[in-house]
Amino acid sequence: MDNRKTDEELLVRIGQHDDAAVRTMVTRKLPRLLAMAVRMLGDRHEAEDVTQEAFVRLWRQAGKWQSGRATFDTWLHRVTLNLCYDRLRRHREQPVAEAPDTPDTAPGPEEALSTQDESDRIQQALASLPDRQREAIVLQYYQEFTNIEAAEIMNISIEALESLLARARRNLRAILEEAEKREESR
Amino acid sequence: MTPERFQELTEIYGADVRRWPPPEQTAAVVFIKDYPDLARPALAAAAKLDTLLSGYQIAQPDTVLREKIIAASGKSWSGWRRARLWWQGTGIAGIGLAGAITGALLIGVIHSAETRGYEDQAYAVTAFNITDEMDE
Repeated sequence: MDNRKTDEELLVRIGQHDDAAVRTMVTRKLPRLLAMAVRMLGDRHEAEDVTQEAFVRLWRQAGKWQSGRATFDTWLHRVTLNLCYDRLRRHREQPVAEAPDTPDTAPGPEEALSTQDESDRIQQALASLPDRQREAIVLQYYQEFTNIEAAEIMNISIEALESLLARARRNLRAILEEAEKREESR
Repeated sequence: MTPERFQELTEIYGADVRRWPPPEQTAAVVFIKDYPDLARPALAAAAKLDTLLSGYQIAQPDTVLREKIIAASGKSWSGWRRARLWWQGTGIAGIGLAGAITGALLIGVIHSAETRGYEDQAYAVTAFNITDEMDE
């Protein structure tokens, strides 16, 4: 059964144009990649585009995959995240490296927080985090990667990852508490 | 594990010890058991954010997206096949062109051999391996 095959075994078969292996890979990876892209971009339509592009890259590379230090899952997440960053850069028209390391306190999203339901409130809070903090929390909390895996995907040290995670959680708490207070004062 | 490190880990990884770095999980469980009064407030604060985060769930991908992605795999392959065929076509055309050039050279060399004497004929024989034909 394809479901019991490892990612690498599926890749070999995808490289040989095996439709069943393609379907198994999509079933296995699509929900996770899409969820990650939605949380990174805050826009489902764009996240779907990004996910499709990530799979196109997967199909092209499948026959050439060589096991090495990086696992296939790590590579696929990195590809998808890079595509997310391309989108974010396009929106902002400025390099990500120049993004401030503090939450975006622009009034728009925060004003909107009080009128959103809980899920939308978290989405808004995540969207207002600096990109790298959002990436860290998405990988560690939502994608459930270990600290070693998340650090590898982000190409940073464990210490740097922990710093990003701590700041992300602190900022999220502050944003959400502020939103809660505004809600109560109305 | 020190109380400071325990506090730090809740602030980094949240309240679920299973999400903590594996080497520190056992020590954390022991710490919770040994120092519940220190552990509980830190865990409660982290759990509050965890609960909020868990409320942000993403709907499953729909069938249309799934099928588009699957169809794209076939397109990638046919694109690759087209590229391969193009290269093969280029190769065949190249072989044809090389053949034409070779033929033209051969005719030129044979013609020269016929008109310029034995030494040049020997050159032609060596280059194109046509000894049998010339012996006949």
